[in-house]
Amino acid sequence: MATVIKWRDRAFTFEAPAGLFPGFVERLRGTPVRLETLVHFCPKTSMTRRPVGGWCLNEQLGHLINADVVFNRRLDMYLEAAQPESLIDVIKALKEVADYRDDATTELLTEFRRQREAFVRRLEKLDEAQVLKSIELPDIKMTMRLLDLAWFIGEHDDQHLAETTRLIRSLS
Amino acid sequence: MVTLMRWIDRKFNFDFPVGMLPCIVERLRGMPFRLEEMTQSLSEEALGRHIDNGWSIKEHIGHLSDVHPLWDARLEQLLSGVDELVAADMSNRKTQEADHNARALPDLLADFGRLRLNFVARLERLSDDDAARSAMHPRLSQPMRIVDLAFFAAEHDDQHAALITQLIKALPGGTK
Repeated sequence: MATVIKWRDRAFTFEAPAGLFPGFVERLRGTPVRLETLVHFCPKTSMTRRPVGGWCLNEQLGHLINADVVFNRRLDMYLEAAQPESLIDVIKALKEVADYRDDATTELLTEFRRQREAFVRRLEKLDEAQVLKSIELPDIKMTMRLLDLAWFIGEHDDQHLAETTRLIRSLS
Repeated sequence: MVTLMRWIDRKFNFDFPVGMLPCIVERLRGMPFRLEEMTQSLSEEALGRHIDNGWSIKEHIGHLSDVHPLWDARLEQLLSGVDELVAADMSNRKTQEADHNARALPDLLADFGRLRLNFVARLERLSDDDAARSAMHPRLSQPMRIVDLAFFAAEHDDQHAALITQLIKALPGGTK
């Protein structure tokens, strides 16, 4: 298999036209069922086994839950429903990824699905002017349009799905 | 809701690193499960309904299977070192003539799942060097690598997933 690029080595260019937004939303909608399918046959011991220097499968799920909390607050900022300081507060209040390790996988999957479905419902209501709005995100010091954020989340999902597959194969 | 861009109007920048392939393979792997989830609660009437002369949900799913021989052929060509890839039939004659509406949804999904599983398995066996092999794409008039082919297929998936969602949302009472 080709070697997966590290997330921190990714370079992002934000130049997609607004007409790609519905496809981006579809990617985001599909992540819960993809995750559920990937881990469906994993025994509990596999879900909590940490690779050297990395997260176990439950921790990967926990990280995606945390990420969606942040993405939702970023969306609030685009829609002027939240101040930048509140995003930092949300990040500080996130559960530690390691603390997800012993949670039940079904509960993690359910929570991720609940958050993601709510996020997608919000995105589906937006118009073109809203998705083209650009702001600076204070937590990652990047300026991007809401359209770009949706794509960015899809890329982030896929990075962790690829890591999830790699972990499952290394355990089997 | 934002208007979906037509596939024919899409422009593609094939300049991302080959190391994206495992992430793109994940997108491709997930599509059969996404389609199953999207369609599981839909009635037969909803699955076969046409709106504004467009394809029905069943026809979109059938189309995703119809194009798989093209993805497979291009992968084979790229691995064998051709200069130019086989062209797509932009009239989609195969889908127009297939009468996918007459088939049962589980059969359509099973066909797509089998084709996709095989394609993903082939991509997973490739090395970094393989993934960087390229040839000219005839319609886009630009080089396409294997990693780009995988990306192109994943984007094509999402295009049709978005169209299926549009159909679902336009079908009041379309669920079982």
